[in-house]
Amino acid sequence: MIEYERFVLENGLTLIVHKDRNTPIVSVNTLYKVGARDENPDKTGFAHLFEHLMFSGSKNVADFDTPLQRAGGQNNAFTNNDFTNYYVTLPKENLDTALWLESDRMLELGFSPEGLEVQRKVVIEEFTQRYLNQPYGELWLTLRPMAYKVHPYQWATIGKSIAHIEEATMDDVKSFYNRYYSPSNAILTIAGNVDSELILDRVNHWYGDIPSGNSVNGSYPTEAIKAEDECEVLIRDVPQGAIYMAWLMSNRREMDYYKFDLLSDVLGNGKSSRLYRKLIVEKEIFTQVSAYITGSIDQGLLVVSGMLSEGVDHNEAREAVLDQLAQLAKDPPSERELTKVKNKVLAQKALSETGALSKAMNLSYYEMLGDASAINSFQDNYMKVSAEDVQAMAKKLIERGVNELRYEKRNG
Amino acid sequence: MKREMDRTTAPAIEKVKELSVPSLEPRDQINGTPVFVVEDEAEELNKIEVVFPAGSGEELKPLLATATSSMLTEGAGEYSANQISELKDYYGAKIQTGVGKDLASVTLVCLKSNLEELIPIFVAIIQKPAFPEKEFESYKRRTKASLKVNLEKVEIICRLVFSELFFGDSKYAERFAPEDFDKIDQTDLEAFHNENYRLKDARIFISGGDVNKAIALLKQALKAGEGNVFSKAVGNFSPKQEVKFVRKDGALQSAIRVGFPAIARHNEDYPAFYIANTILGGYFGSRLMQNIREDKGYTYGIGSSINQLKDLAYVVISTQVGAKHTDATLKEIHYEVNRLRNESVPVEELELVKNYTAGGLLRSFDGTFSQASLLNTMLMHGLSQSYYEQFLKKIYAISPADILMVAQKYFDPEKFTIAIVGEGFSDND
Repeated sequence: MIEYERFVLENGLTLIVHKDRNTPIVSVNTLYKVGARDENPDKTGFAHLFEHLMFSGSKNVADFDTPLQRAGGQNNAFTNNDFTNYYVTLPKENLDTALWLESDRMLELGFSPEGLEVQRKVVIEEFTQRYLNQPYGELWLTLRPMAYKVHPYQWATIGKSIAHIEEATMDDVKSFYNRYYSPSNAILTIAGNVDSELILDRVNHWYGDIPSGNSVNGSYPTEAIKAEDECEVLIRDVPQGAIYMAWLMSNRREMDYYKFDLLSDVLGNGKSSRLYRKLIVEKEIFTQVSAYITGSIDQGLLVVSGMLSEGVDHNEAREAVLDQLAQLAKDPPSERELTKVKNKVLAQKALSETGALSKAMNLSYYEMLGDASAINSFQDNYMKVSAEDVQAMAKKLIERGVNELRYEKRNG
Repeated sequence: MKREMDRTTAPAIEKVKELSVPSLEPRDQINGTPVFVVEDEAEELNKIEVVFPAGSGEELKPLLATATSSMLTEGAGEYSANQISELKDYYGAKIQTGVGKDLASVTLVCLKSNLEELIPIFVAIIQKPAFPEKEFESYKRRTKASLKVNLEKVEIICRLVFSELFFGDSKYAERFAPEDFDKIDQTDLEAFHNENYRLKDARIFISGGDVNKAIALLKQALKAGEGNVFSKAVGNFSPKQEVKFVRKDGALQSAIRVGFPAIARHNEDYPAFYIANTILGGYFGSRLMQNIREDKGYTYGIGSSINQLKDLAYVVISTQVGAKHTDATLKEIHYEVNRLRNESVPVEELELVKNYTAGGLLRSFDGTFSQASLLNTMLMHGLSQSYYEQFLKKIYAISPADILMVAQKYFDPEKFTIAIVGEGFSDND
C-alpha cells in the first residue's frame, strides 16, 4: 500500500507527495500530458524533439543540467506516444534546486536557436542509431502504419521520417510549448523522506505564480477493427528471418485491457509460456519468441514477435502462432496457468515499489490515467479475470485482422 | 498570492556529509560461506545473490563461462528445465544467472512469503545443475542465432576488436564466434562448474524483508563444499597502442572505443583519477558529452568509464557517431584529453563534479538491493568499511592541481588503444 497526498494548486498543477522513509534521496517526477499522439501528422517526432529542447535553458536559468549536477542531482526524461516524463533525483536537502529548475522551464523556456540546431542533430543521430543502423530497427516504423490507419499511433515517437525533424522550425517549437507545457497539463510527484507540509510550501513558492495555461483534452480518432489481414515483407541483410504479428486490442481503461494482457502472458511471457515451450523447445520453429502488449492509453496492440530458426519459412511460423492462439480460443487456460500469470503481476507490482523514483513515476502515471490511487488497486482488475475471459479474448483476436511484418534474409 | 522571489539565483545547496554504509561484517555463515545482509523488514521482497569466482576470465574455451552460467537453470537436481521455469513463473519470481569477467552470480528475487517454495529450486540450480543434452542443444541453437544478430551491430564488433587489441593474450580477452559453441560439450560444462562454482569460494548476499528466514532455509538446503580458490593469472597483458579500423559496409554510424590503463581503487591517486574521468566523460555534463553531443551534435551519446577488474583496471571512452563525423570525433576526443592535461580545470567545474559524484554515491545507497550490490563491489575489491566515507572526504579536498597531475600521469594519448568499426574513416563533413 503506497500512501500519498494529493494537492491541486490554484493554477491547476496537480501535486502528489509520497513519503518514503528509507531513502537518502528525493525524486521529483514531472509528467506532461503530451505525447506523439498529439502531433500534427506532417510534423511528427515533435514531442520527443521537444523533450530534448527542455534541457536547453529556460527563462531565468541558462542551463538545466549544470546547477542540478552541482547540487548532486541526476536527471533524464522519456517520451512515448501518450505522455512525456521528466525526472530528477538528488540529495533530499537540495530539493529546492530541483523545484527551481523544473518550475522555471514550466514558466518559460529559453528557446535558443542554437539549442534547436544541436538537438535536431542529436535526435537525427538517435534516429539513426536506434532505428536505422540496427538489424530489425525499422520494425515500429513499418508496423505502426499497418496497424493504425486513422489514429496517431501510426507513427513512432521518433517520428515518421527524419525529414520532419530536419524541418522543425522555432515557431513549431514555441506553439507546441505554449499549448502543452502548462501547470494544468502537468502532474508533479515528489517522493522521499520529506514532510508533505514542507513540500507543499516549496511547491507553492516555486510554481504558485506560473500562469495556469490550457488544460488540453485531446481527442483521438477510434481505430476501426478490421477483419482483413495485412502483410508486409522487408528483405534485408539480416542474419535470420523474423516475424512480427500485431492485433488491435482494447484501450487502457477498459476491463478487456487486463484480459488481453494476461492472454499475452499465457501465450508468450517467459520460458514457461506456451509459445516458448511449444514453438522453441518442442518444435524448434523459433529461436526467440514472445508475446506482449504495447500498454498504450488508446487502443493498443497485442504483439507476437519471433526470430525464425534456420530453414523455417514465414508461413509455417505464422501458422504455428495462429495455432497456439486457436487452442486458447478453443479451451481456456488451466487454473494453474492463470494463477501463474496473476502471481507475476503481483510480484512485479512489489518490485516496482522498491525505489522512490519508480514509485513517483507510477503515481504520476496513474494520476494521468484518472486517479493516482489506482497504484494500490490496479492488480484487483487482473485478479478478476477468469480463464474464460482469457479464452474470450483469444476468440476476439482470431476474428480480427492480424498485421504481419516479415523480415526475410536477402539471398536466402 | 504573489511572493517576492528571485528565479535567477540558484538556491543554496548542501553538501553530502555522510553515508551510511551497510556492514561489511558477515551476519552469519553457511558451511563456511559468509552471508552478508542488508535488511528492511518492511519490504515485501527478498533478494538472494550468490557470487562465485566463475567469470569468463576463468574459462579455458571461449564462451564456456557464459554457457555454464546460462545452462544452470536448464535442469537441476530433481527439476527439469520446464519445471524450473514453470515454478519460478508460478511464484512470480526471478531467478537469474549472470557472468562478468571475474565473477558469476546466481540471483533469486521473490516475495518473502514464497521463500520456502523457491529456495530448494535455487539451491539445486547452484549445486546440482544437470546440463541435459537436449536443453544444451536448444540453448546453443538459440544463442548462436542471437549472437549472429549482435555481430551485425557496430558497437558489438567494436567491443571485440578493442578487446583483441587491448587484452591480447590475457585472461580478460573476449574472443568468440558463434561456431565456438560447437566446441563445447557437457563434460566442459560439468568441469567448469565443478572447478568454479564452489560454495567455499562464494559469498552470499541477502537483502530485503525476511533475511532470517532466508538464512535458515539456505542452511537446510545448501551442502558444504570443498574450497579451491581457482583463479587464473592475468596472463600476458600489454595493450597494443594502435588504431584499428574494421570496415562494415552500409553502416550509417561508426562505433568508436578508446581505451587506456587505469589505476586500482587503493591507489592514492584514485580519487583524483576518478574525478578527472568524470570531468572528461563520466556524466551528462562531461566535456566529451558537451563538446561532441551538445555542441556539435555528432552523436546521441558518448561516455568515458573506469572499469575495475580484479586484476587490472582500464578506462574506455565509447560512442557511436554519424559515419561522416568519425575523424572529427577522434580529434575532439584527443582535444579534450589534452585539454585535461594542459589546462587547469576551472574551480566551478571541479566543485560541480565533486558534488555530482557525492550525490551519485548517495544514490547507490537507495534501497536494500542496491546497498547489497555495493557490498559485493566493496568485498570484491577488498575495500574497508570506511572506504566510501574516506573517498567522500578525499573528493572534497581535491584541487585543480591534483587533476592536472593525474591527467598528465595517466590520461596519456600515447597509451591509447583505438578501435573503430564503420563504413569509412575519413571526415567528409
